[in-house]
Amino acid sequence: MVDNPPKKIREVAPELWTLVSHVCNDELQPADEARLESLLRHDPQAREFFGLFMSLHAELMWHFRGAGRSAPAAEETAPSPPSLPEYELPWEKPRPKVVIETSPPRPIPWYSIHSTFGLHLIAHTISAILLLIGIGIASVVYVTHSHEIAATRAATCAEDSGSGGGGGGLSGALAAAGKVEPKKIKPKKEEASVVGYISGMVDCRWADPSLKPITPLIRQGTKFALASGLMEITYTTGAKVILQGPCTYEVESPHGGYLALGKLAAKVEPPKSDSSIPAERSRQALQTRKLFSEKSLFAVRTPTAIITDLGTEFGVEVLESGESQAHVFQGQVEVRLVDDGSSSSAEQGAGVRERVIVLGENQSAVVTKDGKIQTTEAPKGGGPGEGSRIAAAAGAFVRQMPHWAPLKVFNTGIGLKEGDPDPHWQLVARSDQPDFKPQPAVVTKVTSNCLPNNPVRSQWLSLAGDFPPVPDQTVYTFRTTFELDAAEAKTATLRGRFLADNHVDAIRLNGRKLNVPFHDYGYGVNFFAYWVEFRATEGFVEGPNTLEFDVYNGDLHSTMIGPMALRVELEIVGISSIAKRAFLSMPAKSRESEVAP
Amino acid sequence: MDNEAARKLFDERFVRIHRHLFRFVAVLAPNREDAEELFQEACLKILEKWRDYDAARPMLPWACGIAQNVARRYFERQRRRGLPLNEVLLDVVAETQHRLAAEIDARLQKLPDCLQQLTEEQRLLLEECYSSYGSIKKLAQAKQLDPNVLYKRLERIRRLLFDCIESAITQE
Repeated sequence: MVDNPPKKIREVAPELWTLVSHVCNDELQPADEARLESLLRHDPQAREFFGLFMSLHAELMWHFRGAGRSAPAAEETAPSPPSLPEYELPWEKPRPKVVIETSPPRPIPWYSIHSTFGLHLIAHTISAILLLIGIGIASVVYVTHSHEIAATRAATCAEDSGSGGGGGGLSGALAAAGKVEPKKIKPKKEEASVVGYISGMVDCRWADPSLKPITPLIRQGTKFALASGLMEITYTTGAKVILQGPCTYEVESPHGGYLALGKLAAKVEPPKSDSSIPAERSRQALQTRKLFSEKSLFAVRTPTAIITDLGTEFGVEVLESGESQAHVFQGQVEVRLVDDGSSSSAEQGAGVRERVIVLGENQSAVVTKDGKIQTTEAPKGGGPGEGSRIAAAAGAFVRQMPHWAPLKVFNTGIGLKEGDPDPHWQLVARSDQPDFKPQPAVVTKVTSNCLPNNPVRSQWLSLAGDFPPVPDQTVYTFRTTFELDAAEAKTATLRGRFLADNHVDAIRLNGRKLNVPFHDYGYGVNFFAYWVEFRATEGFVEGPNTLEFDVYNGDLHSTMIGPMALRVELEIVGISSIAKRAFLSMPAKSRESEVAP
Repeated sequence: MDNEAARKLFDERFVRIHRHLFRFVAVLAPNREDAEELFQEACLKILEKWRDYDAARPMLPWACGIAQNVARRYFERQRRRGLPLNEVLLDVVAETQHRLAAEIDARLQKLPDCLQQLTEEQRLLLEECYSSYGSIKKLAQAKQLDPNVLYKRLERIRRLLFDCIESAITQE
């Protein structure tokens, strides 16, 4: 072979040899890639050679597969067992040989699990370890519980007496702890419990990629830094929060979080068992409940305030200036200034009334950095002034996540009878007739090897209703159109499936080719009942969109005539601009700038 | 057909097409490492979808369809430089493979005989290059050879094999 190369049967350009060699050696440069692509696109013989040669390369890979793994090391002398299969199935490994020991058993060491003494020793050691762990857990629980009880009592006592911190020592410290707002307690990472989950995301972009969520479950202490978009969090307590980017938010507990910057809207359903809660409640009871009650109220902390829910829907915004704004859509909230600890206990006791307010429906409050609270009510008619500014800001909250909705697109032949022209699908071209004029595709009857027509879902389309034979080796182009608005075009996802007699060569969305999965040309029993799926997530435009299918009739070598037909089912989902506007709380007129992309 | 029988049939057919599937995948991903990884992913996906397989139809086209989609996603994920085929050509090559399937099978049956016609040195070099997971360049460095020398040797050996197969087929 080496001295007398065989007569070459296939003439192959040297350039192509070089290119395929580069491919096999994983050394193809971008310029070579472009050249190879051009050759393969336009030259059927180059394609054929490429297929044959690369199959040889692939077969060599298979042939020598495992040769590198099973190569014996220098010190080994025994050959590899020849009986092992050459492949390894993912779900089944070769079973090891069963070896029966015929020599006498070796003596069992005293510490071994197989010896009597060793077994008892191991069992007792494990028991002792478990006992120590149990004692440790019990002591932690006992101490923690006692601390909570003491702190509760101290807080209550301090409030009742009107004093700020109570006496000194432990009781004073506990009382002080009870007075001061619960500090962020960051549990260790491994102890963080799940306090909620992400229940919706729309167009989210992340200011800090390291904080991008990788799981929908939210643990205590999780931070989010949203650059834009909307994200909904549902707490295990049932509260829902919609973050609007740009926004930085930390989930501190099952009962709230810390909004460092940006805006959110929160909705908390009032607990059913507490339907008798009076509208007015004492601040003291509120504080105690908030701190240690099982039915703790939902609260959002900001750098300057704490906004506590009283069974309501509200919005909170923190500006770059550090100013916090709270707006009540429904129900009531309490707005309290953050106590920076600079005032004395007496001052705290005396001034607590000015530092806490309760807002009702349609009321807003601004808490400035220097600790002032300004409240206002949204004027009904709108108009100039600070009230209007705050009211306008109140309207800028997204109170409900936009939802995906199916958009209008038509399956082939849906709702029609055999022989009917389909108003939504046209035959627009055929490769054997350059002057072909577009015409409606017609719902056609089909033979028994095709999936039967289903007028409720979809039906086969062809040139006429009697499944007419048409020339083979010809491409027929079917087209449908659908409308999208701007928001839908940005968010649409198309999923579809088709059946074709005989083959879909191409699918184009607005002229751009989609991936068409590999599928056969239709041989064998029941072939024309085998759906092929496809999808598109980009390439949509505002206004009319066209979707085209090139259907090839016959197989690649046939020169006869035969029936040709296409059947398609489509689903497009997206978020419409109308849906977006409906979910924003401002009047549509003043929302134009919000909706614009 | 009950579930157990259907699964048994599926397994039997899958074993039979295993080699062909690897070949299909390796044409789409000529780099050894990519081919193996892609092959594993494709196999897992095929096994996941075993209930979707219609036993009245041949398995290889169905499995190749799944493998092609897996390849597409794999390359999107990997984003490696110098990928031999872009997305559109994936479809072109895959379709060619399908059309030439019978011819490819017939040709590759000649491969063992053609391998025997290589010299010992050529066979060993081929084994080294095709059994290792590293690049040819790294292999050349390990053998203290200029990579271009190794490329040329490999190209010659592959040509010899290709022509040997061509000749054997033509003479039949």
